[in-house]
Amino acid sequence: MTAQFSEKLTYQGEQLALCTEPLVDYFVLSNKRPDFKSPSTALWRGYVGSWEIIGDRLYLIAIDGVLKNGSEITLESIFPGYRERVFSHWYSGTLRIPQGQLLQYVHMGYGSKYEQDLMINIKKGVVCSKRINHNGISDNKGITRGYGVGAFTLFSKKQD
Amino acid sequence: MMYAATYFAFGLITYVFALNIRDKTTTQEVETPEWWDTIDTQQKKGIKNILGDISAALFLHLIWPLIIYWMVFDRINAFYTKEEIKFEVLSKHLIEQLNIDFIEHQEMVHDPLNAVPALPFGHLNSNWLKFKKNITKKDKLWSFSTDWMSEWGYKENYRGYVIIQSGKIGRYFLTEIKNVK
Repeated sequence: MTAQFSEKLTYQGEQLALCTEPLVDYFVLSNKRPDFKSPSTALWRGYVGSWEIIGDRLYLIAIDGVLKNGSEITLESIFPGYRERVFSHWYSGTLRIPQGQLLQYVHMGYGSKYEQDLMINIKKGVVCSKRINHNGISDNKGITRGYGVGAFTLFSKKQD
Repeated sequence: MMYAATYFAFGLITYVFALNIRDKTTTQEVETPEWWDTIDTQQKKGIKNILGDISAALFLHLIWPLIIYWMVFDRINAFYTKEEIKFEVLSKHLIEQLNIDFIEHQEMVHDPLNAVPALPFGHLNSNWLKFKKNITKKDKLWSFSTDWMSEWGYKENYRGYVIIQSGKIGRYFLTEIKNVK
């Protein structure tokens, strides 16, 4: 399996990489999962969700993806009547935000290790605590900071 | 010639392996003819072993591919086609009996930015309506909680509500899934 593109999180004014998929829980609980098309081996889930923590609440603010029938997915197609943001009350768990430089690249899922992980605990969509896990210090100061995917294969689009 | 030799070489290896299994298993006593009883016990043992070994060797030399298949491929196949164990609520998972009004009051979702319908279970309200649609006055509602292994091998805690009909556990409504460390 290839390393996966992360979700996006805006937190305290910063754009961060979110290596957790809170929307999966919604699909399981609601028993409704759109038929996403995977554009590459680095995005098997077929979508990238954009999230924001406002106050102490986690909101889904956008979703980018294409369905197998070719139509683009929008927030409103999953949550009718909600174009701008959706409160993620269904989600309880821990958000993992890798930070700092890469320590060890793992070409599988979100397996890569970074200097630290910001862990935000969420209970029914509300932030209840946070902590930072320190994983080490990189020897190579030349490495780019922040989460990334090393390589992936693009699936060709069907020509009409 | 080379292929035949290879074929029977594998048969020999299988035979040696089978011998090893035979020595570790017990044998049953069978009824024997009178002339057999006149032979010395040690000789009997020797004859039995030789005859058994010859017939096993001949047999295994011919059918060793089937044995390899059974030993290896059948087990791999069983591993990949094993049935997925479906989640179900058991009586040991039940927490407390509740009523619909209490549950709906408890599960009302509010948001200062109005990013969720002000309804029981918020964005999952339609699933709740479907769940409670056919609940009768005789049915009982219980809350439940249990740890469960997801298909990806992660331990998760499942919470929700379940209908008890005539003492039997019926449909359930999942409200929360949380990773357990």
